[in-house]
Amino acid sequence: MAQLETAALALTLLTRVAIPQLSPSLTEYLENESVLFSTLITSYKSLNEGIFFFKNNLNIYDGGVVHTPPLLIYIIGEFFQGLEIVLWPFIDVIICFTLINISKKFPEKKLKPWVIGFIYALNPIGIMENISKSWLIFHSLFTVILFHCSLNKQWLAMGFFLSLCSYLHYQSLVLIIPIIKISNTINFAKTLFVFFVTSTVLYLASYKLSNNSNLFINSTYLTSFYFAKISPNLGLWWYFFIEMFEFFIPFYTQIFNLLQIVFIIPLSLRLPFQFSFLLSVAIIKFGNNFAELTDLILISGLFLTQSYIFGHLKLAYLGVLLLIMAVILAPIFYHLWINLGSGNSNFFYAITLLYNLGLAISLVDYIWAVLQWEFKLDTKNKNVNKIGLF
Amino acid sequence: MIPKKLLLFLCSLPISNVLANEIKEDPVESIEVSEPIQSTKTVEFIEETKNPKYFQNDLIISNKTTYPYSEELKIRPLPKNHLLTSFDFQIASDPVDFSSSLDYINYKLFPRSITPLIEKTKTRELHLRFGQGWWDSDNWGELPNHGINSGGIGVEIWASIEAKTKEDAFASWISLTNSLSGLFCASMNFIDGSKTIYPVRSFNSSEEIPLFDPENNIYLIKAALPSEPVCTENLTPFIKFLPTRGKTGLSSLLDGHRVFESEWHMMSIDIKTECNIYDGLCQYKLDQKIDSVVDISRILRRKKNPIPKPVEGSELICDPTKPHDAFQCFPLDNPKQLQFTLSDIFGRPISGASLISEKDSKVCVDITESWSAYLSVDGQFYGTPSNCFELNENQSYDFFFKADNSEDVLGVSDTLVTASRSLNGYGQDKGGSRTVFRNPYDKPVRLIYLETLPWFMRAYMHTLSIAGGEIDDVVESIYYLPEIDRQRPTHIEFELLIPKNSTIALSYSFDKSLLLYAEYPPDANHGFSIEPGVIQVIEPEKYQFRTSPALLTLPTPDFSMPYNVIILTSTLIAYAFSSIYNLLTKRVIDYDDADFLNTEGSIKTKIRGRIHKIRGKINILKGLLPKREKKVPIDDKIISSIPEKEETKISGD
Repeated sequence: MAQLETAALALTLLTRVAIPQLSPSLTEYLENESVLFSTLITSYKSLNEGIFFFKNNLNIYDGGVVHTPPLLIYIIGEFFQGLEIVLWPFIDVIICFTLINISKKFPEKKLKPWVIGFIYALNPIGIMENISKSWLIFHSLFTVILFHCSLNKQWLAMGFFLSLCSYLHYQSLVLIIPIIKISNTINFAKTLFVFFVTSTVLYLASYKLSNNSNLFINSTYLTSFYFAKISPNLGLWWYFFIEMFEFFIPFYTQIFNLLQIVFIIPLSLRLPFQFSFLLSVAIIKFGNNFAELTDLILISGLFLTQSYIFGHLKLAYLGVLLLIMAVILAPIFYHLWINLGSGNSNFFYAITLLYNLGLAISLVDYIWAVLQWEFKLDTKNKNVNKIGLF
Repeated sequence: MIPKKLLLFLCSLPISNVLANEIKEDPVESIEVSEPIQSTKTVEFIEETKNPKYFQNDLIISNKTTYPYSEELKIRPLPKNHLLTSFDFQIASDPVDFSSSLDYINYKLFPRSITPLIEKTKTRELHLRFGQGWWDSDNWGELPNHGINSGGIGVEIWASIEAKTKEDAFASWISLTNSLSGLFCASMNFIDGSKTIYPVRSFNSSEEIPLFDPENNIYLIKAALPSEPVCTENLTPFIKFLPTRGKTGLSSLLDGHRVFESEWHMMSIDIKTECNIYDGLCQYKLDQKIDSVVDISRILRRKKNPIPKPVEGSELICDPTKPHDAFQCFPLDNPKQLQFTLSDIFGRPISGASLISEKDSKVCVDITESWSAYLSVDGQFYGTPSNCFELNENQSYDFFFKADNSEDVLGVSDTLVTASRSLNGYGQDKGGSRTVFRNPYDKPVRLIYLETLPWFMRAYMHTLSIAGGEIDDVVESIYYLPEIDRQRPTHIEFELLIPKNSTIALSYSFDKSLLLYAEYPPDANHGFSIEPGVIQVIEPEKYQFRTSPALLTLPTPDFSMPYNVIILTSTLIAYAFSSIYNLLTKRVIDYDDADFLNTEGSIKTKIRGRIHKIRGKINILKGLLPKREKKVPIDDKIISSIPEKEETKISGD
């Protein structure tokens, strides 16, 4: 077993290192052209621009091109310049390793951990996403580790990784709500303490790095919050805001921000921790304003660890087929619109709509499956409390 | 105080002093005159001054008193039967001590319409350019006057504004451009923060700009409107600035139809504030120029045949180096012998010299020996050895030109360096910019290349690359200010050193942003213009020129279905929201439990039970109340069968 798991990890590393070497044109395409694998916020180009600014002592955030958090720019620019082709695959290996470990936590697992490892290693979308070098993969990493820590009840580490998660993607802050569910007051105070300490350190370091100014908040978080940058992506909102009448835009901005967090508390109250956590992640990603396939990889990876649920899914094929169709057609329609001019933006919009429909169906189906599983568990344990509901 | 101010301005016009005194004595009238600048009163008054009688009177005086105004026309034939005409008009206001508070300023001939703007916005230098067409530097060499008076295509404006802070300067700038927009009938009111830059190394004035308050700073601000069509409505206000107003003097040649028919033309207005260090007096200096290049053969052809006709066989000039006979001929486009007059080019002769100017109106022709130029007055021809003519009488002047070999022109001074910019890439979402600099000479050229890119072009400076040289050798320094969406354009100034005999290509890539629905131009359009890059050569000698503007096509959303988009997206949200909500408020149970809950345990049953209880209590309470007479219950059927009148009776009961 352990050998197979090691093989999965090695395969992850191998695919992600070897394929760019074998096909440099694919790498160039994915880094620069692909609309699916990165957005203008997370693209490798934007990160490189940030590093260029940083190296030349320019004010990184006094402009509208760089939206990368300052610490990421600093760490990659200072320590990993030239090592990017190894860094990204390595991150994926850690994610794969953590996913395997998470799946081991659940005794009634259906898929063996090494199978999950192999699925993750050989997922073509995952490989391409890694080659495209979107920095959102760091967020995926921290989310997965946060999940692992919270399953192990490592309170201090939880605070630390929650802070890192929200540093890269502020919406992840709401993941604290599922965590409250599993912790008592003292443990939660520990987590919160570490979270605040780490966040303060991160903030101060960022403040220092961006020439003692708070401009980075504007560029990284508020751009996302206000849906300020509009570029074609897989998400629901970009076309909505282009076509929306100007005076409604502030209203819908708030509605959509609300939509990203409105389900977190009900989910946490209603479902067991592992499900409330990963469904929270999925819902944040579903309502995300700059969606990319990195999100899908993270969600599917987390879902895979809870493979015992899969038996209860009703619409799995529909959801998966919708997603596959969208992933295949989206670049084609984008090409028709942008490069050939023989299709218009509605084509691409329709396909992003389909992608989101696929996500929504999968999500809803997953919740249904969880409810089913819960019921089965209850009947098995013979502790149905008939009056308990009221 | 304002009336007085304006009064003296009026005095400064070429009117007899007597008239001015009369107005002075009557304050009421002066107030009437002192309405806003463009009031009809003022205009009428000025019109009056053009009465020849006044001019006759004024002539006597002006023999002694001269006005600080001069005008000059330079004519220079270019290769391939082109002709460059450069008008130069210079006006100065009277030197005044600006620092002391004044009741009035005597502007003399200085245009009254512009001064309040300059004073209000504290503009110390103002430069305006209106240009159209393409300067063929391969054939025509350097731009006139080392390119200092040339701008890019469209409208360009830059100014040095005195202000305490940058924000104040920007406010003044907006006020200035809005006013100029009205004055020049150009869309300068569309200049906002997203089009404005503060040049760092380019456009720096060689002269020191006076600062009236030592606490203030001078801010140099620049903007351009590359897609602005320059036309007659821009020329008319230009001519109105001149004291002769196109009626006499060299400006009488300026006809919109002819100026804008040229291959290339450039109108420039430069206003400077100059101060004398010794006496502390300052004055405004206005320099107005119009340069244009016309194709002589085209103009002559049009004069001969207003409706284009094929050239007759007898008039064809065949290429002697190729076979030619009665049936075949390779025509030469440009006849070598030319004869034409200035009125052929401009459509009318010079109607009299400017009699109010300090110096005589001057016309200079730069020609070789193959050419000859004559001044023609009343059918008489006069020539001078220097080919410069001074006009000083009130009669019609024309010039006659004759060329034996029109290709033999004064050697054009070659440009030190040429530059061309192009956009590359095929997609609508990204692209690249590439500027090629060519230095054909044995001296390295140091230059500053200024580019202003609109905010929807997100340039990536880390992709900057140089072909044809090492980046460290060529790029001496870069000033880079990235865009902020809808607020600020990208502003790049490269200091480049182009090695001798080399061609350097500077390129970088950019992404294009999507705009919002309402930000796309409403009409059919061929793209967004990117303003011309400005190249300022510092070494070996100063020269300034611009690249052509570039055309950018942006990704365009479909505008036909906003409602569909809103509806479809909202439907999906509604689906996701309602399904999740639905599931989260439910619980999976088996049939037995379901039955139990439906009968006994459900909220519905409980609530019903509660309602029953409450009703029972209410009924008990009701029983305690004194009883009322009950209304007679009426069956529906009975009502329907009873006629209306009776129904009202019953209900009345």
